[in-house]
Amino acid sequence: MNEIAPKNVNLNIRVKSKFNFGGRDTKIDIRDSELILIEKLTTRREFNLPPGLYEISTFLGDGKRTSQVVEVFESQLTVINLEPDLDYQPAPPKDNSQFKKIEELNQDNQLGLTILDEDTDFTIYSAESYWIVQHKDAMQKMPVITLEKNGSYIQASLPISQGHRYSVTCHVKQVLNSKYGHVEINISQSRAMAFGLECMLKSGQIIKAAEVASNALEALIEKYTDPTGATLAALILYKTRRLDDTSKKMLINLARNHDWLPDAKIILALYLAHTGDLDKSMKLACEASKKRILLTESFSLLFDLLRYWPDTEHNEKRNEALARLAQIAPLVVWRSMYLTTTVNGD
Amino acid sequence: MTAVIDDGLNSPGTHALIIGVSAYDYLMGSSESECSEQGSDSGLGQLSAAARSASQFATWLMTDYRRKNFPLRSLRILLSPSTEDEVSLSLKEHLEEDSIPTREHVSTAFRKFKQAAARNPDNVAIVYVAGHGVQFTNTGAVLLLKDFAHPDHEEERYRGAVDIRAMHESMTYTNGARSQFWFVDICRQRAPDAKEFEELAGVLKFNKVINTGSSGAATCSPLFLSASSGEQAFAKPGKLTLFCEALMSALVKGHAASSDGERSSPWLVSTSGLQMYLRKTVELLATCNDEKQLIECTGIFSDEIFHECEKAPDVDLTIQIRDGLPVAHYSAKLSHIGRVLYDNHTAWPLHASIPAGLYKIEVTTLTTNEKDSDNLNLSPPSRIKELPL
Repeated sequence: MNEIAPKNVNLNIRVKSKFNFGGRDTKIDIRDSELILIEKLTTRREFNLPPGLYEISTFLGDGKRTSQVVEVFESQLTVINLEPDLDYQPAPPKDNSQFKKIEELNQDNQLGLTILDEDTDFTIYSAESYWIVQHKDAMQKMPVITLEKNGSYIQASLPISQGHRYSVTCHVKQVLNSKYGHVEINISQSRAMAFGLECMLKSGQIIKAAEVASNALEALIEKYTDPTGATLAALILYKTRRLDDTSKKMLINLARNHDWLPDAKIILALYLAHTGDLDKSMKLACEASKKRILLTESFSLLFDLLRYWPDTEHNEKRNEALARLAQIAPLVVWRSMYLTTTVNGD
Repeated sequence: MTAVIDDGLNSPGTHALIIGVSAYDYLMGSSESECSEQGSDSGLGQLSAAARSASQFATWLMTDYRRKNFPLRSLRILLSPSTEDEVSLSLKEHLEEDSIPTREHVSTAFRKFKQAAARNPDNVAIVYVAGHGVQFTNTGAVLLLKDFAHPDHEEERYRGAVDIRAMHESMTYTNGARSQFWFVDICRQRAPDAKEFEELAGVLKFNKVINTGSSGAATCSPLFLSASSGEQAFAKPGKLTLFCEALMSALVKGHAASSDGERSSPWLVSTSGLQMYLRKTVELLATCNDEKQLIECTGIFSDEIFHECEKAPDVDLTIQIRDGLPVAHYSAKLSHIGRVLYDNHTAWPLHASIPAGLYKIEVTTLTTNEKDSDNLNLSPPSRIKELPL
């Protein structure tokens, strides 16, 4: 699209994204014809560039690198629009009463998957090949969906919680022979910030995710009350060594205020172990090992923390915690993002 | 002497440890010894690509690795080839008795490597290992060594194995090289019984010494795992592993490089560039061979530079006329920054190897004289463009 150029501006970039404060803080890279980076991680939207071809690229919270090649002219305004390429998710119902308890669900499932009611405290809305799961009540434990198919059982932790109105749902997609164990679990797109973090983690954009994780951690704890989303942000900060004193304080609050969510304790335990506070770290690690964990990676990192523990002082507690995890480890579907275990019925 | 290179200097530089195990003494098909009972139980046999891949990566490090302020200062190699041709001639002359990757030699080599890498806090450390492996979590990996399944190890199943995650932990959180890159090119199939998730009997581990304060820990220490948890890593028999093939094209051809700096700066292969390229390419190579292989990355991530390319990578460009359309009806002009590479080109398909960049293509339909144009973002390794636009 070419328009009359405002003075000294020949390129205008418009970003449409729910991520990064409605796209306002989305950082953009601009490369010239030789793909040399001429603008790095800029939040500017108007430029006056020499005529030529340019590549405009960014990450819009969909886990993909969005890029466009544009031709810029000396005295003509070129406008480009960057939008995320989101995978399809059905919308939740406007009427909340359409979310049903498991016993009220019509379980006529084409893939032969049946949801079992294992003392669950969440509700479900069926839409196409998805279950949209929400949690409205006070959190007592990690929400876990239990499925049965041909005598085999699948249990998956769900990234939902009581909290902000956007933080309560996730989408569970039923997939035949999925590598994740017949279901693929995603945070609902309405939780833009948490969904963006999840997408970037899944697609391996860990360093890009780290650029927004610090602000996200604060927002997901203090503004939106989305503890499972905040856990993703904390994991990203840990993996990129960006957990600092400020984020540590937030992590302590997250662990203290959401006792049902052991992942916050695990990340805190990892951080404390690497900074030499072994007593506190072991206490948190042991507490976390007694509860159902949300993320497969947290489970694995906790296992490694205990297995490679640097001293023998805590051996008894360490071995007890390891033994608890070792009961579950052989059943884990390691490729799933949210801790999923499978058991054959025979 | 497992050190092929060691200049002994304390100035910042790069230090590397390479282990490749193709020949196993006590597994099926061994030419050295009889297969042990444990070896037979494991169902594992000899490999043909692990030592070759390690050798190729080591040779590249010696000849073509570029880091302006971090030259290669030490290189330790332990190889167990199945055939003579697995190891490059330039490496062969350096390999001695203790270059055989047994538990004892790996333990010594790692200790010396760690010491060398700790000579300067600004050092870069690189580890590449290839061979049979097992896994116990999705962040861990265990490499089976040449003496795996030795009859004397009956009581300690993993005595002939090294825990790479333990190696990584012991290097990452101590005063060592600030930038580390770990490439673990092994299968990650599940351990045979659940009890072993708790304890790997006899496995070679290394002490993890925690610093009080995080100043000594590495700022970058990604662990690239060639296969997902519980999955196999594949190789082309007698050639390279798929992971190594992808890694070499990322580095030798610069396919994982991008220019993220000043105009005069070289094309750089960074942590994130490597991660995204390996992820895409290993999966693609496996798919081409009707297999499935997905890499995983764990460890500590920051966007450090791994390698500096000398020039922009080349792209294999193919421009062809869409199936069913007459090839004689189209001509094209391809230009780059005002320079015309092809003008009135009518011989289709066009195959060219050209530097990565943004190109303009203008197409004329000769029968109607209609003109159309498009902008092409040509990035490695290849691009096929069909006409008309």
